[in-house]
Amino acid sequence: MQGDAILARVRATAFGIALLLMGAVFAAGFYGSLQARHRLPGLSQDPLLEAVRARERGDRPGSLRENRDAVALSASRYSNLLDLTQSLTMAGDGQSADRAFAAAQSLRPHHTSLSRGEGFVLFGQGHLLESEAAFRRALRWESRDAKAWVGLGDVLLQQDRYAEAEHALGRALALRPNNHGALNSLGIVYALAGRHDEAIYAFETVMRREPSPGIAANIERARADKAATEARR
Amino acid sequence: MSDAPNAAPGRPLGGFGAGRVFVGVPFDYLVIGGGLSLLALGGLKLFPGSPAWALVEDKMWTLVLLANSAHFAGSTVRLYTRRDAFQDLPLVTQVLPLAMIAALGLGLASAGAGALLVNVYLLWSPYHYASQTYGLSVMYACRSGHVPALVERRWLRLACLLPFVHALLGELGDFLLPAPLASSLILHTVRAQAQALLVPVTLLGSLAALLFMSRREQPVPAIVGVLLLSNAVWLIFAGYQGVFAVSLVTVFHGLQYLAILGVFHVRERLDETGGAWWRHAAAFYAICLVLGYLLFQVWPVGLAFFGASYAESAILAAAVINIHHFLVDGFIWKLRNDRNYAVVTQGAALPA
Repeated sequence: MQGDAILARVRATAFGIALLLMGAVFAAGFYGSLQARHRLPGLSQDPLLEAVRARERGDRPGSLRENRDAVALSASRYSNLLDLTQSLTMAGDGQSADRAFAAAQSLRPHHTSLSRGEGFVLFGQGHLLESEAAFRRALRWESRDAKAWVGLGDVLLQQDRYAEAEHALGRALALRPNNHGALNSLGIVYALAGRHDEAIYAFETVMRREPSPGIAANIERARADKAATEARR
Repeated sequence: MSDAPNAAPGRPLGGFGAGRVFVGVPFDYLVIGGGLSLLALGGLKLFPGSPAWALVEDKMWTLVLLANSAHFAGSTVRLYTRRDAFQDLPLVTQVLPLAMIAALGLGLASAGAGALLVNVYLLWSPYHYASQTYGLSVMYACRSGHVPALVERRWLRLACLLPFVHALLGELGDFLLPAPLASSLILHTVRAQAQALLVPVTLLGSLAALLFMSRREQPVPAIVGVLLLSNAVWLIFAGYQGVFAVSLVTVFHGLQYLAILGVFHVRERLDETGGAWWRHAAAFYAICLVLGYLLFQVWPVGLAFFGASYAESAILAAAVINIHHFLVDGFIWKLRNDRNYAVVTQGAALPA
């Protein structure tokens, strides 16, 4: 009987501790969000949300930490590792991108989609022609791989091949209309090609869906370019 | 020998019927049966470029909160709002929460433990889907007066679990293999071939289970067929349609779960306190929604506030919430000797 009472007390204490801990973390969540962003936590559950935000505000170490932690928890998950290769490349963390790619390769050394990851790693290392070849290889295997189309578009954009980049990014957007990265890159293609109105429209669309300082800067730059062009006329 | 009594000679076979539903045929078949998901995924397959999908994808996190996050919270709300829950299930109600927090702490402290936690939840998830399909199928059959015999239950379970085996043979099962085997080309080929073989085997197995059940005098509720098809489409075919389709599946699974949970909750409340059904339903959903928001949106930010990265907080919080949900689910749906059983059989035709 006394044993039962002790057990009941232990269980009640365990429950009380759990409630306290949960309450403290919830309170910290509200406080942290209000302090950092002056708003309640948003609805996105994307684990790389803060990695992107850190990158946008120029916090490279913060972005690298977020990405590396995501890689560490993705061990033995091929698709996640391959996706992270892209994210890490975009974050400028070539070393981690390479590591994620190697981990993915060790899991599925013969998988056709590996070429996409390889494309991003090579892109991050500045090997543009080799990267383009890898993306084209990935697309030969799977022409509906929107991420590979985005990679190809970006690598063509880096080579100032605007018409080809526009085509590749258009293919990506046809497959995934909400791919903000592709739309932003397409905006850059338009801006560099002197198509200011289209560029502003593309950036504003991204801004409406996923506001960030980087996109805001792109809009400002495109507007300034448009004004300068009109002034020259 | 089969223990399922066939129709007596000279008497017609039961075949299939609409069955006895909980709310109404359209609601039960579309929401609880998963019919809506079949229409949506079919639409996605046939019209992938439709602007409607861009809108849905744009609002995906809202849909995830409204259906999926709320459904995870739903099992917890259901557990703690059951009469005598603390007395009947002392370990689940009082000790499990702290155990899950400890597991989360372990995952945050060690990347290896964290990765294992994530892999376990990802593999458990399709099993949970399959089990839910089995549970709902038996529930509807019982309610329609067709209490499945042991052999029928085995057929049903097999039909529900085949899509899970398909998932197990894919990427989700990689972590169960030692490193050299995981990357073996021969094994990959064998697994891929087995997965391809499982597609027709699942469809034939489901059909066989339904036909086997239809030999009895009591008709099989057709919603069982819809449930089996939804399960197969969710666990097998959606994967081939990409990440967006998989996200849609989680939303429909959440919707299905919330609907049936809501039905049970509301009927119990009506029996206990009376009042308008929609008030009970709205109150239940509102609590699920708030708790879902706290768990999936606020909790990771709070963990990050204490020094963890947001990425590991979000991934591990999702893993722990999922595992807690799977465990709790195993207790709250036990029908025998439970008031859930009364809700299932309420107004049901008695088996012959």
